[in-house]
Amino acid sequence: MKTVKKHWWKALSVILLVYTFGFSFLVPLSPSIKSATPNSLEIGENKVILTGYNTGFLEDEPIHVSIEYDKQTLLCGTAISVLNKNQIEASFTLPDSLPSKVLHLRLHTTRFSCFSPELIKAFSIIEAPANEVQCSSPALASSIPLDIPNRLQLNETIRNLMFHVPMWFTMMVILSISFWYSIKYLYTFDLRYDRIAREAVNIGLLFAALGIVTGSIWAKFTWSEHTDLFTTSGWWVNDVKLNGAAITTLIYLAYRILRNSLQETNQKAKVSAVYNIFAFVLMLVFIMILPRITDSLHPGNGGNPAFAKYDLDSTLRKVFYPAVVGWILLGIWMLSLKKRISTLENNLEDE
Amino acid sequence: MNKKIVFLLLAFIAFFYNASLAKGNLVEQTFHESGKINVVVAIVLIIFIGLIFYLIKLDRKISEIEKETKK
Repeated sequence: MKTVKKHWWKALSVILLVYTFGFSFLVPLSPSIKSATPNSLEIGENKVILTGYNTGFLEDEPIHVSIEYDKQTLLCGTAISVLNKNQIEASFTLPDSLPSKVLHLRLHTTRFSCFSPELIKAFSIIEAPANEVQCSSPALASSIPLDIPNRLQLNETIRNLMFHVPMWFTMMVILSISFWYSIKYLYTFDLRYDRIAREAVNIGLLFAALGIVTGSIWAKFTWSEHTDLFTTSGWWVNDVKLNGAAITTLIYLAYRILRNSLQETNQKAKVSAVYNIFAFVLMLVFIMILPRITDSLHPGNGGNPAFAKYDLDSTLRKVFYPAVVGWILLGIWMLSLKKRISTLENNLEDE
Repeated sequence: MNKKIVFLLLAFIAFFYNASLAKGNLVEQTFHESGKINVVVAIVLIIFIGLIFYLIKLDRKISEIEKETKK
């Protein structure tokens, strides 16, 4: 009973992480249309091949395709034929005027429905308001299957939400612990607190490094691809949050250098505790405040979003929050091990 | 000594990565296939390596303490 009371949170961390890994690798991505060839249509009849992902089209399945703009159905696809599991052919007849040159595509069958924004462009049409049309469509699926949303350009990498993002949450929690113990040290001048603050910064730096490296890889294969939107196409995208995170990491690396440069134990503890308080405030400014003032590629930045407006749908919420709690608890577990070891080390030195 | 080995290993990986890029983006292609799932695999592997790195550091510290206590 005593062990349960003492260690329940470690078990919780493991359970949550097992759930996170299971969910994020087993739940399939929702079906969606990836590309249309040709994607630029001309006035008159156009035969378009639509390529999907995870769609699994069946022969003789009722499929409904339409082109939309601004929640208005403008055109209905006709003569739809299934080529294979992931490809269908449809024909669209474009009038000479449409409200926009960039159009969205909606597809639905009895099993699923999907919406692909800005998938199709229209050539040489006149931009003018158009009337909505009605298409005969099959009944929508009654029960929505459990799946992870399939976003343009993100595709499967949306699963990184459960790995990359919690690294930063964990770092922030661990660094807050460090901040708290630095203040406690300055109140009491008890070197125990200084040791916890030091170990917390080390663990925080590990999580920051993991966050930066994973983020860099994720950005390389998603953000950097849209070369017409962003000028860079390498491992580093010029984004406020990325630069802020890099500066934060450097600030905390400087904390370690500062500690190692001082000789006398009490002086070392005092100076680094004061520095740690400044570093924590700078961290909040660089990764919480500045990205909200300017535009950032990260969701939930640029402006001041409420948490409910956050770019998450209900399926991802089911796994994202447990993932965050699980990783944070794992971080705290790692910190407690480090703390116990440094206490042992200190006891040996005293003897 | 150990740091040198790690550095050399990283240099080799970087070298081979660049070499593969020159030969028609082989590495990048694998990341783009099947909905970019390999990006997720790479990221999970990196986190795993990070945790192993932490374990190694912990292991070393415990060995040091064991040595001290034996004295």
